[in-house]
Amino acid sequence: MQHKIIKYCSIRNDTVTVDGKVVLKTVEQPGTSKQFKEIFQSLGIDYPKFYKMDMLSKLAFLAFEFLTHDSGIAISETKTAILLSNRHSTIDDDIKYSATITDQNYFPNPALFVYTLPNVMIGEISIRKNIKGETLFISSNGFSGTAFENCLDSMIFENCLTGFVEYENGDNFEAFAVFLEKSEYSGNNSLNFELERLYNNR
Amino acid sequence: MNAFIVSDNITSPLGLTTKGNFDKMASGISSVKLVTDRNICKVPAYLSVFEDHFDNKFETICEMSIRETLSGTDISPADPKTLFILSTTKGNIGIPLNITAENIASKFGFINKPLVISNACISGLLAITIGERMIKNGQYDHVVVTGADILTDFIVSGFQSLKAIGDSNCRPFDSTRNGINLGECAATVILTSDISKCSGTSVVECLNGAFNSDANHISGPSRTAEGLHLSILRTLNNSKSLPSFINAHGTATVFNDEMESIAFDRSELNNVPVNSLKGFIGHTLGAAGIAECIISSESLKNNIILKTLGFDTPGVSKNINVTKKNLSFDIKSCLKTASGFGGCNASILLVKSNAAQNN
Repeated sequence: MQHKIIKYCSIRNDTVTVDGKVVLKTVEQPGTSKQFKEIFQSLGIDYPKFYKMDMLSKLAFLAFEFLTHDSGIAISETKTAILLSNRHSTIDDDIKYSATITDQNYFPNPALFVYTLPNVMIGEISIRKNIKGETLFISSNGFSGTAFENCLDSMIFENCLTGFVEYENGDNFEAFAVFLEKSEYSGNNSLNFELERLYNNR
Repeated sequence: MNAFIVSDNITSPLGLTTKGNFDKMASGISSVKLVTDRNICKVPAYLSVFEDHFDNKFETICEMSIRETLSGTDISPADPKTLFILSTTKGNIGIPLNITAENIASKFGFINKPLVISNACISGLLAITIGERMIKNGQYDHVVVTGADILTDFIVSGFQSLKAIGDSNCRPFDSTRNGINLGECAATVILTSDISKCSGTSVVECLNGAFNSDANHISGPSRTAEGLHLSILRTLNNSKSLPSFINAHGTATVFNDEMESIAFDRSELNNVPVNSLKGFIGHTLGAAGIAECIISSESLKNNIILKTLGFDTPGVSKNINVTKKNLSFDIKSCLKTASGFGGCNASILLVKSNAAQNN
């Protein structure tokens, strides 16, 4: 069984693209809460939980919302999987949480602590899309088509939301989100090759 | 291809080998105690921590565990069909998890890039499941799976702020339970497709690993145990008989243990003996699923199901069969489960077979 890429989305700097075409240029400073709010509002959806999320989950939420919210993407409650990766895990949240446990100012913040696990952004997407299938977070040095293909080969699903979602800080953030399906025939190129090609041309 | 456990190690404050840990647990001994070291917790807590000082503790305990595990087999890290998987929730905070994994891998000469799995408290069980499937699919012949976490004030204060830490030694499934004991640990299993590499009279096979989300809440378990129930159904699918016992996650928080009782009840496993090992070495986070699979596989080989240390009076809403003392009979299989933040759940079946017959 092969994998067929159906749709992909990228959020970088001030630009949101879907299938390589620009769908939004933002006004607010890239990598800030204001920019993420601007992108969220452009979607025109009602989901107050968005405002409670950390920056990493917000970014993942936005990318997968662009991928799924207005098209014929068929999410299955138990047969859709989610596989995400990044390099810096939850470093932005780790720094913010650490600031609440200094000797001078010791008030550990549970609302920050729960976001110091990288799979929590997957939890946020699974809640939004009601996905109870297989979900996995892996760490990789950068975007790696090989690592995705290796893991997807050992996951059970009909279709999958996958991608690289990084929020180190406001200067280093990006989301690359892909929707793919199991398919009898997917073309001549390996999934690894196709993912790398789309990522490099995002 | 089937995935067999060929060698394993648990490096914990209770002992530095699988046998050292299992023997102490079988005697009812725990490494959990009140810790007041302000580097580990600014507010004192009942934890299982190493007393020795280690430079770069995370990598050091991983290396101790891997070295001892590799010494029990001739499987080579340099084999292009050998993969190293690291399971951890936090690793060394501030250092990318992959950098830490590559540092460890380079010490042993692994050729393939390590795979790093970080999925809260199910990380270890997920790592074994992915390893098991990679062997079944023929992606690799051997997979070295190591899970580890160390305790710092970051982790301990976080669980304290969530009011998830118990006020003394933890009491899984008990009516008086009120929270977790956290623990430090590194645990390693080597899975292989080549049963001829397994020694001993019996060998344990990993079967039907599965994982499912609750799609319900990022920090609270599902009230209907949706994800864990789905996962258990997939793991037990096609199995002709009930598992001999269940090794539960059993963290001793009010909500986790209640959710698990609902999952076991929905899965009609009410009479199957259930144990939790959290009272012995605490909740060891990224190591937990691996350490607990290892101890459960020792239960299979030694025909002893361990008691649930700290359990006395049933305190969950469903009728389940939690072990109060060690049980001994011909134990054939174990259903291992885990659940974690993000609403993730995992399960796997460990099955004992006769090594000579398979050869």
